Amino acid sequence: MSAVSTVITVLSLVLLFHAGYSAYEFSHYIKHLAANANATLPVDIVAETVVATALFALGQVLAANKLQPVEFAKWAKGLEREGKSPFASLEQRPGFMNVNKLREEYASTKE
Amino acid sequence: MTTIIDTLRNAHTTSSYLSLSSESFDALYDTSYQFITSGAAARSLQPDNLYNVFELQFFLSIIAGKDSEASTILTTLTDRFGQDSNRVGVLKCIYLEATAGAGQALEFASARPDTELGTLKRKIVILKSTNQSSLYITELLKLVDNFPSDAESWAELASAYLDAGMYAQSIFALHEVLLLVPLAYNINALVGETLLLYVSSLQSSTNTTHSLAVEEKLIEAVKFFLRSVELCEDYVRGWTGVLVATKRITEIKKPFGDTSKYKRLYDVAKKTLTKIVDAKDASDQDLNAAKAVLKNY
Repeated sequence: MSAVSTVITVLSLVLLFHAGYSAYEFSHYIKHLAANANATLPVDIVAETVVATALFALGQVLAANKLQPVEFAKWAKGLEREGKSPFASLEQRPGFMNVNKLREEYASTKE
Repeated sequence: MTTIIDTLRNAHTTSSYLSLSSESFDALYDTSYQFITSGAAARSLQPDNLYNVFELQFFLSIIAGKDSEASTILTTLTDRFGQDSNRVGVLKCIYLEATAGAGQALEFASARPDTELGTLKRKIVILKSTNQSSLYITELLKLVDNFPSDAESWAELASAYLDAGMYAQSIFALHEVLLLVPLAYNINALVGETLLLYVSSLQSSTNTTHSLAVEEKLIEAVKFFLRSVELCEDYVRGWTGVLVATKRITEIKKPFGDTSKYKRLYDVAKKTLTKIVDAKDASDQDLNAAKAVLKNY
């Protein structure tokens, strides 16, 4: 998780907690202190919740790993550059390796 | 930055140790050896990756001539997977080939069940070291008859035909590989390269007027090289192939068909290769090869 995404996620969680606590306080106020019991939840608490959700989503998206290419050609180019080609074994053919020849070649480079 | 685990996993899947330079091989061996003996491998890897790393270390140590180390790894793997396991059988066979000689190895391989592809391949390799190349091809043909869906066997057959100079048969075997692994851009490039070799051999043997067969083969080579660059963007091997093949086509003085589009393809290939070389967008080996081809074609 990068620094920016951590900050945004933490901020969104703080906002969410604040919105929730505000809603609890409001329900307490309605039950014990208010004259009319028909007041609905204030719009700013609702807005705070929505903003907190949106920020959380943004924070998590920013924390994602580097995206891989979707097209085969571009993905194959990336693999070739890193030396990880999935088709290399067709040209190396380890099932048919000539062990003695490889051992001789290695030993000859060591002399 | 690639981690040690990544490096070892790549070396295992691509079998790069079969054709590394001496320094790279030693570096790989040291990395793998340190990783295993320090206990880091056992601590940080899941079982399937761990045993793959052991298998890699087996191959590295057997090539480096460290037989006792290879024997230890083989014992560990046999204890874990048992004598009947396919991969353990192959490793045991390789160990016998290296230390005890062809006779014992052949005996061991023949005692394995004949549905086991790995040891069948080892048997053929042992026979090759004691016989001529025509027998090798015959044995490989029997193998692909029984296991037609194994791409590696077809690729080995293609390589054997190529060594024997039988280009048409080699190309046929490579077509079979492509039927099994159609997205293998390196094999598409290899078909193109084999076709260019075939054309060279045809031209040197007849060396009179230009024949239709040569022109058709050159056009086919261009198609396969283009397929390889379609499958892998900025594939240097593919683009150099397109450059060479289109150059040969445009050099034909009296072609049988219309070859104007090959001039345009030549220009595209030249432009792409110069762009890759200027941006240094490939490995050093590839860049050197691209520069050499651009100079001569």
